[in-house]
Amino acid sequence: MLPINDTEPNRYSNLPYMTITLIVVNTVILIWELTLSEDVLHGVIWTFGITPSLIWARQGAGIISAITCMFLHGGISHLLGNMLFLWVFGRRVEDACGSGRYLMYYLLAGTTASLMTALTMPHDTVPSIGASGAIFGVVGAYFVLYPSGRIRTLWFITFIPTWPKIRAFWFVLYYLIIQILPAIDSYMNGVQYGIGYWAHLGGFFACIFIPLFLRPEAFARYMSDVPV
Amino acid sequence: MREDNLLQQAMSAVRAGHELTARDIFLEVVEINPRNETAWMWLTGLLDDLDDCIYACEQVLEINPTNIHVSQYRDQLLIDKKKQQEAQRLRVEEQVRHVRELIKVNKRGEALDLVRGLAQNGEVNADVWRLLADLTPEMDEHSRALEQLLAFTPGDVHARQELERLQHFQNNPLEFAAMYEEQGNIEKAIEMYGIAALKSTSKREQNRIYWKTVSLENLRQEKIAHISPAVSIARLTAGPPLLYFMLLLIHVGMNPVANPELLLWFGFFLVLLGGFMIALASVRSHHRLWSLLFKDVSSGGTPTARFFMSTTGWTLVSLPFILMFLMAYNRLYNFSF
Repeated sequence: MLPINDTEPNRYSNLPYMTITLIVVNTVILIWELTLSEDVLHGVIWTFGITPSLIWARQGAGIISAITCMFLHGGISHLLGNMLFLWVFGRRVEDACGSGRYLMYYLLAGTTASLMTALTMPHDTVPSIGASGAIFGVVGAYFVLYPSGRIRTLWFITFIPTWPKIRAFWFVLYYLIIQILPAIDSYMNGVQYGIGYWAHLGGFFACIFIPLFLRPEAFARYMSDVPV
Repeated sequence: MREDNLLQQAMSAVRAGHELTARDIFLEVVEINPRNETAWMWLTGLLDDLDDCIYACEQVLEINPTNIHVSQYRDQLLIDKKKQQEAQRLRVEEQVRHVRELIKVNKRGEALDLVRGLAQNGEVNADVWRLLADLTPEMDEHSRALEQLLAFTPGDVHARQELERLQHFQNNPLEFAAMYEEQGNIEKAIEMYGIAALKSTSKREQNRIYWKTVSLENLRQEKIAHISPAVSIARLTAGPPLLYFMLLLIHVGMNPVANPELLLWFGFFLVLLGGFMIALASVRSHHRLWSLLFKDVSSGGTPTARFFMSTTGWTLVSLPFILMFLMAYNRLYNFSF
């Protein structure tokens, strides 16, 4: 099940400048990554990806990698998946926050994801990259702000595509639940999935901070229990 | 000749019990001849108002200072006046106490009616004008009450500043509307935006006012709760320090006790201050800082003041982040895999 678009319009602004900018920046960086030789790319990922054991040892790029890892991706499909979610869920979250505050929230969610990874897997020596932690923060913010928003999704039922609209609450809940079991498994049994489930959960956890980043009118609407 | 005739007429009227007619004729006489002692003498007893009677006595004594009876009568009147003033003072104080009690139990409308009644009857003191200024929603009445208050207490700096601010708002209805909006008084804000639209000559400003009014009408229709600017400022202040704190935790290896990094912790307070300044500049709010730092009459921050506040805020927020990134870069530079 993939999200295609959010069917509700914006309320405060027309164009999600920051979401578009983030998509462009991530894409440009991936294109740059694709031009690098394997050795150099390896070096870039080890330097600018976030490595929990290095954080605990106060070694390596530290906070630089906490930011840069959000802009590095392992391949085109990794980027496409993340950017699809960012586009679908980021547009209205940016609308509710305003571009500057939205960027700050995005970075905060990415940092929370890195923190969660470092806390749950302190001995992990493999660097993590990808915007998914920050994007899960955006998805979480959407879950808090627009639980009854309608997301058009793409399903394949025995190779036949369908695109029903689903309430954001159920859609996000589904994606949240499918993170929990592998996350617990990797924590309890040390299983390596190659996906940062804890980073996803950490990013999602950042959604509790979203009220701090809303524009005043959106916050007033949120507090009045009317559509933000 | 006419003066004597009028005098005779007036005296006849008194004898016939037509005191009001007599009073009018005596007044006509003193208009013809202001130094007519007899007419003034009669008037001392015929005028209604105590002050007018005292004035008549004084006129008699000016014409004939040896008139002991009038002098004694005037002294008596002055004593009466003092007693009357004292009684009025006590009555007003009692009423003021009552008004304050009404305000305490949130009956502001009733309190306002009472204060207005006192002001209309001339039963006033500084407290009455202060209360009227505080209670009235009308800008003109507010301004008049402050002027009257300043006549009682010319040294009241706060009242003077308040009056200056009010006069500033009277000339800038757009700012006044924004102030009402900030207070959550949507009705008054829409009304003031309407006045501002009438005064505005720029089409761009008129458009802005239109959209503002539409947005306020939506808020009213959807019954959106009013969030005080203090809450908005506190809320928006917290964002940058939160991000800084999380990055700082990563920088100190998740252990702030073992690796204190005091300079960076000091930076946290700079980020907090910067965040506050950015929030203050971005939220439409009346704050003492605006008048303290920028001598802003309205205390709402001029666009220039807000620009400076915002720029300083961003600088304060950026510096500790830059310092932390430089320290991280230094660590990376000295690190080999």
